Amino acid sequence: MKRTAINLIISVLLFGSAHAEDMAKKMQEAASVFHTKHNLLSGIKMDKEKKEGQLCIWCHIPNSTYSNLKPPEWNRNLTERFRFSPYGLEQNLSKAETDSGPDIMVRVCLTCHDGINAPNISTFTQTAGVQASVIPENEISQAHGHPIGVKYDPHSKSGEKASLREESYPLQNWIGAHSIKDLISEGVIRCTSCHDPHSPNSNFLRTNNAMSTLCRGCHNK
Amino acid sequence: MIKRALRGSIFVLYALLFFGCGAQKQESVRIIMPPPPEDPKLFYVDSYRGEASFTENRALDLFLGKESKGVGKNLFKPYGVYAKGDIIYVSDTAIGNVFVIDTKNKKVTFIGDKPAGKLALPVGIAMDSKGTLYVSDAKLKKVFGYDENGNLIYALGNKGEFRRPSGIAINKKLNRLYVVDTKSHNVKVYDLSSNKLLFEFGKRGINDGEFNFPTNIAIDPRNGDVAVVDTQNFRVQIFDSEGEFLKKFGRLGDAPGMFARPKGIGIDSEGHLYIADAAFNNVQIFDDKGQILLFFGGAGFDPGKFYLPAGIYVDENDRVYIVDSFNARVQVYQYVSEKWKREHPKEYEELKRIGNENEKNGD
Repeated sequence: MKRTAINLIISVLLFGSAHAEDMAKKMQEAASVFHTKHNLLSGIKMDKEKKEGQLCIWCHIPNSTYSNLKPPEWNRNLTERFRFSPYGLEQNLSKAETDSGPDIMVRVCLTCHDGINAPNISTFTQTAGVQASVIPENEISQAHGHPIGVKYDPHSKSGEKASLREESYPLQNWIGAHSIKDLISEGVIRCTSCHDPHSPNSNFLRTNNAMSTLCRGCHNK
Repeated sequence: MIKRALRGSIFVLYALLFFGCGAQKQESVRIIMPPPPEDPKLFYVDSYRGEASFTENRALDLFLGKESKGVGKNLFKPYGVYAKGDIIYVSDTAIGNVFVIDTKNKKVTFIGDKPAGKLALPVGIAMDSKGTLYVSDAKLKKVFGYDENGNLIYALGNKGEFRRPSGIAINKKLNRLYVVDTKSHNVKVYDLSSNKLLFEFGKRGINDGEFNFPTNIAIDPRNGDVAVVDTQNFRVQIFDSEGEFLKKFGRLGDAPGMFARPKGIGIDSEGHLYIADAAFNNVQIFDDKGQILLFFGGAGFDPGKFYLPAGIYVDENDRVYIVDSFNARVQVYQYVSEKWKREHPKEYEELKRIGNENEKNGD
């Protein structure tokens, strides 16, 4: 089960392994990114066609082809073709059966959302695997307003306190989700639970949050 | 592809040494790169997380491979780093101040936590020849200067001057402060004696000398050249001290020598450039022509592994400080420079001996 989820993540994050048909569909979806802040070429004068071709590269790292590989000068014995694994993917794979490692879908966002490239996100006190240091919320000036990396459990104490709905609860007019279950693959709340990075919505929300519609998707309040 | 990545990672030589030390067991982690028969070039020294680094259970934490929550005030989401002597300065973007980690006296103090000069989102750190510590704040859009007691004595950035200041560096000879303004896509250069803006260079774009969200900066101690990490153009650009474009290297991709999310940069006394990549969780070392020399890291909690590495600084003794932001620590390495070899002949022999022994044991 977890394997499947991880394979899915890989195919989403790596261009090389996606099928052509899926790709075409993805490209169509991605076109909506053009007018959002996730188009990091906006404001740069260049061919629109060329620009559109590069819309995805900030999150979906293309596989590189070697033309003239030379081994690193200080380690000439390293002659095999080497590829870096994006976002700690190798770690997620080697420990697929255990519940460790900060979540890959959160790390993808955090590579840019560091307060310098993009708005800071830093609530990862409860992210599985990392207990950085427990600091009272009020001491963290840049905390994200909602926990990330926590299990979605309506029957836990904190789940009851937050009036969480059952996972089967249907959602209407959400991008990419028909029920809460679709938002929490592997049972975990991630950035992508509320945000779709491809959404044309100004905060990349999965649905409009007027009258707290987005919040009330999961919270029965 | 993944398997290949795993196999390749064994080139990081990894050894745990145990010393009997009374009742208390003490471990030290040895990571020496590259493996023999190549000459050792870089080795792991230590990691620091804040007050927990100086408590008793630290050795146990290290042994377990994940440093569990420690007592005291510790780093949470660090970004920038600077070091002088035994003191490491680390900015924390979540807690909003600078950790002053005194590794010799084993204590931690803070800068920017008091009302005058209170920081919100500190990023870049640098020090001038008088010992004033400069810190950029991406949220307050200013660069602050503090004396050695942490008192605010300097502030730069009128309204509208910076849009999002990030990496900073000081050329002590010229007494100049270089400030990367990520959102303005340029670098602003100030004279520190007059506090005047001398000039700025760069604008938004993809051509030579143009930037797309530049972030970190380092100055070549040999000649004053300025290296700027052009993060969203996936490259490093090098300028002379007057801001004239000289060269560039790196492009988007997952092969050695390429970048996806380049961030921190440091330059050692021999002109080698160390560049952290947050997407690949690694550090790559280049010569000043852009030729790759070595790469190390990969995702993980163990020493020698990174999660979302950020700022890098190389001090005058060629110690390399790498902020490991998601792991909430700073990892310290030593570059085995010619100068270091001369000054530490015994240690150098020891490095080669350990390397060869491990090679024989098949580690």
